[in-house]
Amino acid sequence: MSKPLLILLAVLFLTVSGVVGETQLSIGIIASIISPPTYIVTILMENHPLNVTLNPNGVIGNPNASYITFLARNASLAENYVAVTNLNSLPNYVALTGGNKSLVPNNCLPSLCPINEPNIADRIEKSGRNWKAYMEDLLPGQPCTYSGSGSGHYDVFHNPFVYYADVQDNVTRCSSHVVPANSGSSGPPDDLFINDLNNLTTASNFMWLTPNNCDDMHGGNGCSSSIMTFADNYTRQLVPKILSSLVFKTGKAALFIVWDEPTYCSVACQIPAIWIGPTIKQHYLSNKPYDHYSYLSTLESLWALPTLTVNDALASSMIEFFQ
Amino acid sequence: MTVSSTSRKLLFVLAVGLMFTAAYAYATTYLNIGGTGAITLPNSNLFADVTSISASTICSAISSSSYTDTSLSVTWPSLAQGTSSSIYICLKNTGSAIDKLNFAPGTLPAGVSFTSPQQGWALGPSGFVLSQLIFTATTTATAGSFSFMLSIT
Repeated sequence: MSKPLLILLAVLFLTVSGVVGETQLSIGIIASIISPPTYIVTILMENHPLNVTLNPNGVIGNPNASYITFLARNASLAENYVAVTNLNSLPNYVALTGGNKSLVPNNCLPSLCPINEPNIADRIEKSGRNWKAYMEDLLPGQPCTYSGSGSGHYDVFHNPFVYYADVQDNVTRCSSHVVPANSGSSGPPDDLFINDLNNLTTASNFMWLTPNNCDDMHGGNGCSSSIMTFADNYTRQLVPKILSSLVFKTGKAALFIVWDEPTYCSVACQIPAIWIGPTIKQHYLSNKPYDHYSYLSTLESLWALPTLTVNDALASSMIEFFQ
Repeated sequence: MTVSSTSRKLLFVLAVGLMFTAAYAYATTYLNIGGTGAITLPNSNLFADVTSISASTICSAISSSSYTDTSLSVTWPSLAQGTSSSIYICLKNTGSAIDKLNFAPGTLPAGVSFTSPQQGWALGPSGFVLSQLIFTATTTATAGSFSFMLSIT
């Protein structure tokens, strides 16, 4: 092409650009990719607010909860995590597993309040992963809707899985996935749970542990009057076994310990939510607001699971705690 | 210097085009100077707000002072291998012409891709749009941190 033609084209381009010119925005983006855990273990504790600054019955910083405080300060602690309701355990447990606290009206029995909605266990199974819920003091061979005290202090209001119709109505599915945590008469050692954590063929990707009503800090008839100390000692003997298990030695596991509700103050009071394990940041605190729906959102974002309800769809994932 | 017959014809067409364009630009400028109307050059002009925007944000309700076209930066939430995640930003076209949005990320690491459902959307003069930015990592994407520039025109 001749030189005059090139000059003319350049003049024409600049002229037209000047007439229809536009601004270019540039956004600097910093991103990080993590390797998601293969195994997620969740332990549900009961009825205490976050810390002693918030309330005298708070857990973190309480001399009666020195081990749990140690865990929180050395692993990852969500300092602004709240329950979705207060003074009724079951709706919180259902929020954690079904994405909607209103799927049950309150603490009602599973046979009276079956839930015909999808739950996190369904999502996990459909993704090709497996799950198991371990219930301390649940006797083997009981019907899925069993609501007695088991061999000690089992509490059906702390076992959300048996409320979902697709678990409750399927005897095989229920008995193979909702199982006793311990073979003893009451409380620890949670040998059945720990045995599975030490065998990669029996360990499930998603393992949920509901301790009995004494070990989970709930308290009640037959429990220690120093319930926080009692539950702290329970975690002191249990958590090291989890963290030294074969599942955690793979380096691809995370443990989440969370309380269901604050009880001693309003639902707006934060509750402890602690992430621990080889995939979790150490000495990490976050003040970002989270709630029980964030737990679901975290599972969904880590494992690319479809959301369950608008609650978990809109909740913030807690992925910032993962490394 | 010799100019071929074909080039001469092309030169003529381009010259005519240039004259029309120059005449248009002159006319709009003249009208503006003449004070017979507030005519501005038909350009688009993008501004963005990238702070605390969610899927439910109403971009037009955000204060004008929150929109800027400089020093924009975002720290994306961590993304697990084999998953996607989104963030949202608000865009505002302060110009007088329609802007056909184009999102162009810089070089991304292997196994990482970027997309936006608003790619190619037309953003009218004084218009706002909530834009979703989606970031996907394959199961084999290398874990770790990285940064890149996202250009939006």
